[in-house]
Amino acid sequence: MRLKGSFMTAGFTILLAAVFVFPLLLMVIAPLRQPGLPPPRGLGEVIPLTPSLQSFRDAFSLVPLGRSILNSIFVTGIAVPITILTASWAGLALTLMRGRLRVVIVAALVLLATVPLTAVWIPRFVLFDKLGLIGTYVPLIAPALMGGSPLFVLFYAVAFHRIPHEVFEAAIMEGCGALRLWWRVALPLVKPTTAAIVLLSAVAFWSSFIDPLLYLRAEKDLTAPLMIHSLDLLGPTNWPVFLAASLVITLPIVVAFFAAQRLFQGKERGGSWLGR
Amino acid sequence: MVRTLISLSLLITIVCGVAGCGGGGQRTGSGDGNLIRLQAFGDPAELDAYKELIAAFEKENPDVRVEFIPVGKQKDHMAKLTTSFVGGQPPDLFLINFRRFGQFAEKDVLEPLGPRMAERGKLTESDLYEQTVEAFKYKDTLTCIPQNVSSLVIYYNRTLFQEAGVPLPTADWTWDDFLAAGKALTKDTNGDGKTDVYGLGFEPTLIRIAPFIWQNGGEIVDNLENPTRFMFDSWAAADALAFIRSWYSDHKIVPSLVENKSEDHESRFSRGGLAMIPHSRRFTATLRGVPNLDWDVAPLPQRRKKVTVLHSDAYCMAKDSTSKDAAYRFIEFALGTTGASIIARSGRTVPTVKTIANSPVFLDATQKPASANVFLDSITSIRRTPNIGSWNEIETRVDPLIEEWYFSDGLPKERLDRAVNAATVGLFKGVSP
Repeated sequence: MRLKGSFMTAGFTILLAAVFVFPLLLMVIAPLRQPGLPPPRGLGEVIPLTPSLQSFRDAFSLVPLGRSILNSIFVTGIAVPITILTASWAGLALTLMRGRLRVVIVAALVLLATVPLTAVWIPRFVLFDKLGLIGTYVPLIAPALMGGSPLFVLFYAVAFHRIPHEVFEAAIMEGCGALRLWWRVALPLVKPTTAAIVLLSAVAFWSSFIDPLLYLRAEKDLTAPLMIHSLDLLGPTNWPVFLAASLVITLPIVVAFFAAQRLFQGKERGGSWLGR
Repeated sequence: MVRTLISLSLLITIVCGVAGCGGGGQRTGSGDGNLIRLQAFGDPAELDAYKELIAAFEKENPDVRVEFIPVGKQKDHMAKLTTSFVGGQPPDLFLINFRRFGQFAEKDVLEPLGPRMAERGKLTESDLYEQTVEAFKYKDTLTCIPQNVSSLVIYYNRTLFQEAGVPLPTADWTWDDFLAAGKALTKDTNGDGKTDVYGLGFEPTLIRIAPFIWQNGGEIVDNLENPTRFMFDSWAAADALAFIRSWYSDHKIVPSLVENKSEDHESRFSRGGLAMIPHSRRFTATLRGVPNLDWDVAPLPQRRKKVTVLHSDAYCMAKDSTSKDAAYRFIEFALGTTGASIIARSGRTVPTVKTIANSPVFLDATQKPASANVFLDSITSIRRTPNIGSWNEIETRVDPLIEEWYFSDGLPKERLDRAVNAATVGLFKGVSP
């Protein structure tokens, strides 16, 4: 009976996974179609009879895709570590805080998380213009200085909150300074949270479209998502080129996700671990 | 201690912000009068043509540097433009469609280029097709200088016409010929009861239905310069709309909404599943890349009048630009023989400069379509939609209503009239361009 149940669960999981894997699979197969041909009709025509890598060559020659990927790596590579620093600092500060102020700050964070990007679109542009930073990568990276997103700060605050307060108090009594408390005590206890935020913020910075569109100018500075939009204009016969670029740009995130799997599997220690 | 932690993070934040942590590109302030920023949108091949144009210009004008701001889609182009105008950092020059330039002209952020043109005298209005020059006049002053002019034409698949034994479209074919061809070309080739080849692919939008209303002697608005309402309720417009709708409701010569959404008209035409499609010059670039497709272009069919609709983009200059002279020199170059030829060779647009449009650079006999002159012949019968500031918004609101009515099962036209009026309340301000 139990065996049957687990088979059912496995079958259901596989079915569910297949639904999500299918678009990914299509993205891998579709670029192999020769560009210039009319798009396939129905599933039967999706797998090309004569696979070609022409669409990848086209994607890299039509737009400066390679250069844009390097730019995206540069932005993400700087923004993600800063996000981790600021979000974990703010999260820890929030956890150690007591009383009304903490309630106010948490409420403010939740409120901030609901503000749509479009609402701050113009004020941000004016701000960065006054600072003379239009045309640089600073406006793209700047959100990282504020924890990337209010949500990331809240994630850290929740993770730190689950660590018994006595741990921090003991460390402080032992003469542990703020930075040391953060680096040696708090951060090692929330590794899965850090892994999650690394991934989430990497996806956010990597695929950010509006910020680079508004703040960057020269073609050599543009990031990868802008190139996809440019290729999208080529028309339906060149969708393999568009999908080839999409595949190349999605790949790093997928690889990062699989690489981080091991980190997710570690259990975060809950409130009762001290007693064990 | 907690305070230390907070102030430390604050401090680093501020220091990083000011110093520009990891800031990549350098600031290139426009303001020395010799740096022009040019923003344009287009597919990669089109953008390459602009790069070639810029390189040629810089070679001839070593004192001026052009910074090119390429954008992929028109939607993104508009988002970037409006933000940079509001934020006070507009590009010196940009390309924009006449249906969208009104919103900038209305807010008085564009430098009128007509007076400058008259003063310099190198490039004159008479060098360009008057139909486009007229479209970019705001309050009787030429505001932007048109770069291309494209009319709506019918792209057709010659093979399908020949297989069905339908005569090819002629220069003066009529609505009846058009409908008869559409019916004869719509076929169920494998006998499964479903249509495999459709005679016509038609996007039910304002810009596409407008020429048919005009051909029937109707109007889409009451006054082109100072529109106050739509005129769909006139007899001529209603008759034209009924004709358009019959393609779907009575004759089934166009794909249904579901088929339309699962495979767009352009894809269907490219694989030979569609015999005719009304489109602008832009579609030529896609079709040239499709192997083994025998296609050509013909003018729109006519009824009481011969009319088509204008598509045109122009160079506009920001009023706040600090490099106006250099920017105008660039426009002169881009519309001169060398510049206009470079853009014409990309094949995506029809040049506004008459001499280039009528030269082999555009009418390239080695390239499809064989009847490229159809694009030029259509210019004489071109009409346009209003260019008031709110026109873009009006189109955005009305198009979904037209589509819904077109594909509905017998929704009366009065409902469309009422919905269109309700959706555009307050948008016709009676501002005369």
